[in-house]
Amino acid sequence: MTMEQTCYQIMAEVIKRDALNRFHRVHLLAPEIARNVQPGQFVCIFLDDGDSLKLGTSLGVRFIMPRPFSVSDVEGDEIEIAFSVVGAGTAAMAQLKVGDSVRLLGPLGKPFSWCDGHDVALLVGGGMGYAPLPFLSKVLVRMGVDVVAIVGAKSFDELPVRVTNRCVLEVGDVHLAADEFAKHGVPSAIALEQPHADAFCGTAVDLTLSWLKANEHRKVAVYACGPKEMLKCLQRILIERAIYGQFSIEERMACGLGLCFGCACKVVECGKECYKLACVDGPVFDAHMLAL
Amino acid sequence: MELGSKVPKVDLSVQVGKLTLRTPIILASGCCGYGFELLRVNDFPWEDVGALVLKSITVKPRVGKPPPRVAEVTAGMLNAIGVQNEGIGAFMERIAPRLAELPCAVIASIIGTTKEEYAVLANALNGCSGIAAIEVNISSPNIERGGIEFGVDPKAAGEVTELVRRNWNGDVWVKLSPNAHDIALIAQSCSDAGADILVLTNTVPAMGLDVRSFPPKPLLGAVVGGLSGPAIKPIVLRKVYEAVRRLRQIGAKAQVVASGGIWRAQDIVEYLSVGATAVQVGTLLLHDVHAPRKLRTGLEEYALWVHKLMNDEKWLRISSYIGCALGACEP
Repeated sequence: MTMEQTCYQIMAEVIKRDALNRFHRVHLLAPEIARNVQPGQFVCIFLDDGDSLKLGTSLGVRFIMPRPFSVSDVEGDEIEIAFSVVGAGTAAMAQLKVGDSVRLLGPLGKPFSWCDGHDVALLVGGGMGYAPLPFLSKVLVRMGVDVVAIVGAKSFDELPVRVTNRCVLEVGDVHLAADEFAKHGVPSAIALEQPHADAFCGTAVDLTLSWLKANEHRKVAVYACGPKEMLKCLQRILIERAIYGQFSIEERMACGLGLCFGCACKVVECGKECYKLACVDGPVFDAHMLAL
Repeated sequence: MELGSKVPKVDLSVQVGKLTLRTPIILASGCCGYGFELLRVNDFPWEDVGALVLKSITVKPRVGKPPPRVAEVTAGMLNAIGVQNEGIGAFMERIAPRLAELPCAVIASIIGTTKEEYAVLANALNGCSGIAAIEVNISSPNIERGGIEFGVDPKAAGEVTELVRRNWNGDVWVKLSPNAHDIALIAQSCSDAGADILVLTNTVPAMGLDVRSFPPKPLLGAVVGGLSGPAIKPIVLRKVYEAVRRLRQIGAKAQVVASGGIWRAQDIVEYLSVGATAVQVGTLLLHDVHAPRKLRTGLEEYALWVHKLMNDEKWLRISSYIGCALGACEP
């Protein structure tokens, strides 16, 4: 179905900007994408301006490849992108000001899906990997699904979310939640590896395990995005406990459309290892099939 | 422009072998999937695309290279995809019957690990009505056996070309490697063996390292791969020039299609000027899916400028530009 979804290339204006340490949020005016995008889907941002092909103009060749970003929220005709500065591309994006325009391609990729028969959706975000989850939580809540979320980071300063004491998930001795989920009425909890008075001390996976143990009577579906190591540990837990899950993964991309076969990720299908494309077969995959 | 005067129309069509293309812009193999992937792009400029070349097909399925398969480098992109495809059987069953849906001419690309495999592939494609020509890939740097091996040896290049010629009824395009010691000789050898079109060139064998970790780590999962994008254009331009000169010297009828780093219309003008009949666009399409329209607009602007400068109707025809700089390039 996603293969046939129309995707748009547009120039999108920056409507709103904010930053917290090296973590940034950009609101882009992208009506065609905002109206059609589903949780888990992404957009490609191209940093060269749209005129670089014109005769006689300077040749913009600094950023040949797109930067893919999950959509972290949708408000009317605007989409929200959250990112951290990790290289030259995201550093350039961090310079974007309100009124600037960027070239966008989207919506792209296969979205998350809800599987009937589950009691609760547990959303697990590792660091910046939390990005696709607030939009997912909003849509699931609208569908009447019970949703809870966990966000993990190394330290308080490394937290990509805004903390709040509203809507805190009851687990361990946690008093901090993420505003990105609280604003959708979704209880969440913060896990930090470096001890902090109000957060769970440990990784997002550790906290997930505690929550799962306390909720063994419920049929849980896990939705996660984060570093490969985190997904690996989480996958082991899901397999051991026969829990259904979907992971959103990240790969370097060159087109976002399945044209170049550049964003391969290994999966196990019918007992055999093969490569799928993160851009069209993913970025959301059945958690059990990924060869992490 | 005076009031009431009309902007003259530019004729962008070119004749490439038996094919008449509405524009000289061809989508390069490996950068446009199987064509269908572009059907979902809103407002995709099909009217500006002369033809597209499908992703290379092999006899047996290939899983491809480990990730990361692509990486950005200065003014270019590295790739080591490794010809991931499901093989000729799956292609004939699932993709071939749908090719007629595509709104432009379709060229199939084949790659063999042995010479005989090229013959097998060419022969199988005779059964596919949606294919206008075969592009013989003897230049992929991302396949363990075959591919580039044949593209750097004039004798082997000629033998592969001849095998395809004998097993395929349509035009034979041969895609050459910039790594050939003497590309003019390879071009001559393929032309003598019956190639109709020579495509210059595939990616330039290359690699890169990420120094943000230590010791620095290869950018590609396969360690080495091919370089594409604006960085390679001046290199490929020279290859095209050398091949065209040789083909003209020996009076060969084979034409040259240029492929390498086209980023704006003036790159196309340069390639046509040294004798390319058409061009292929790959990395640019990945970078901007609307690129064919922007390139076409740029070409029209250029032709209108030359038409005014030279005051001659012939410069409104893009085909007039083919080889127009060869005189000025005589040493």
